[in-house]
Amino acid sequence: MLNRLQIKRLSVLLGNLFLSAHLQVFAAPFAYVTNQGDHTVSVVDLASHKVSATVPVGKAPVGVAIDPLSNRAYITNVESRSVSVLDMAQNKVIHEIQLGKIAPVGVVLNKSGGQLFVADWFHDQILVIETDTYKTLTTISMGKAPAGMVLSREGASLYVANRDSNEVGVIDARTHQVINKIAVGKHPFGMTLSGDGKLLYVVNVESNSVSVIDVRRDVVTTTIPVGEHPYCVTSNADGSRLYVSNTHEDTVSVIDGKTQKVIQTINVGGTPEGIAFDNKHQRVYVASWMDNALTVIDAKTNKVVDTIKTGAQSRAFGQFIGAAQ
Amino acid sequence: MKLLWVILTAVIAIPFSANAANAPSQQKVIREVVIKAEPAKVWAVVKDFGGIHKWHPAVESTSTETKADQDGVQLPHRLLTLKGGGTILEKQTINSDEEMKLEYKIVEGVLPVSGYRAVMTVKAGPAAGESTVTWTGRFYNKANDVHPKSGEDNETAVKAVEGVYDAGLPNLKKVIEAQ
Repeated sequence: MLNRLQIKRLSVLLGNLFLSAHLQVFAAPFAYVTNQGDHTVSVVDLASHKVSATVPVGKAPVGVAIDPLSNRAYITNVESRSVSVLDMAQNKVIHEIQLGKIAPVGVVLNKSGGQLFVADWFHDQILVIETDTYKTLTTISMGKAPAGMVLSREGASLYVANRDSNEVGVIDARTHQVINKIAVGKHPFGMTLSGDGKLLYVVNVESNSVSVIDVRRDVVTTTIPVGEHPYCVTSNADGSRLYVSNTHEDTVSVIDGKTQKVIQTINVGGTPEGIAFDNKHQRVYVASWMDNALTVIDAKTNKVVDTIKTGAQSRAFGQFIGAAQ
Repeated sequence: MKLLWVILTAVIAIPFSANAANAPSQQKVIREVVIKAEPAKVWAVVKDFGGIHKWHPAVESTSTETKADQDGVQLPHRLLTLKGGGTILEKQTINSDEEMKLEYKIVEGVLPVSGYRAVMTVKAGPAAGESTVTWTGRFYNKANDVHPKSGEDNETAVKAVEGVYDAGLPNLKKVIEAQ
């Protein structure tokens, strides 16, 4: 039997099929930028580069996860120790999941969108929250200070950057068992899957490098030197280009996915943090904590083409681009 | 006479980590001043890493030396001797004529901060023949700790940096406009 959420998902899916087959109508993608300093999320239209809404959320928002099927963005609020559930159709918070003593940072959804994984870097654990009931199903003990998280392409594995134990933990997304730990550089933080799903890129903040993990074997295949104090990384759709934000030198490193080398370094807004790729417009968006802005890079030319004012201390940690249905 | 004006913008980080996470939160200070002079003229003063005593009223003298930093990179260093005592050693990491951008970091000194990085930029405008100088600082509290003792906390660090910028920029304006 289908529950409420599954029915909703099914109807959204069918609706999308209909639209894409007959009308070719897609919603413009939006960026959901957390502003840690003024407790809001800036919703930025990636077609017009205008802020279409500024949504108040909990205190000191940092992490973002988007579920396009249910039209929801999940925002982690470090200071109010909660997750705001943002309805992307209305640009309104419809619920705030209170987490008690938990300081949430990284956040990601499972493949169906039915479960939310929240990294609690205060208590070295991952919370598994049911998105239908907002109840915590279970907690998974992790390494020290779990930060960035990524789900494997098929949804079987959850990868967690354990910042203070210098490793990436691998969790079976169905059984919630820790199945592997992979040693990386010092202070792993943001991470991304390559567009083709084969490689996992993890930034090492203290080593000024990116570890590349082959996700079939869960081994580090290479380590790429990048800029000073890297924070996050994102991939284009086919994995041929990776983009790394370097917080201490206000740059983005562009990595060639094939040669696994930095081919260009781009000056961006001050203290670049969250970074995401918009496949529709072939552009890279980087949150600038210092400048309270989103820097826009054209992926074809690797040039900064726009700067969009957001809110105070933009972080946008996680996959923060998505399309409202 | 057209009114000369100064834009002051203070953006102070919310110390979110103080009670929540296990790392201290970064702080920031941003100050701007509009100077009635062409950008090239303003940049010539700003880019002079060893000449800050010529415009900052709190700096008595500056001595410069190029030497290896902790990573073994050869960089220009300046030692500021402050009026009333105390020194600050800083290293220059960027000095770009193309971008009109100076970046430097504190190696050690009396300012109650840690991990301090400052950027000074010069841009044309807002009006013709004017320049805007922006001075930004990013840093942690002196203790670099979530629970710092009094005098080494975020508030102390932010106030100190604000004091440096607020004393410096109006005088930078005065010195350049008198040239």
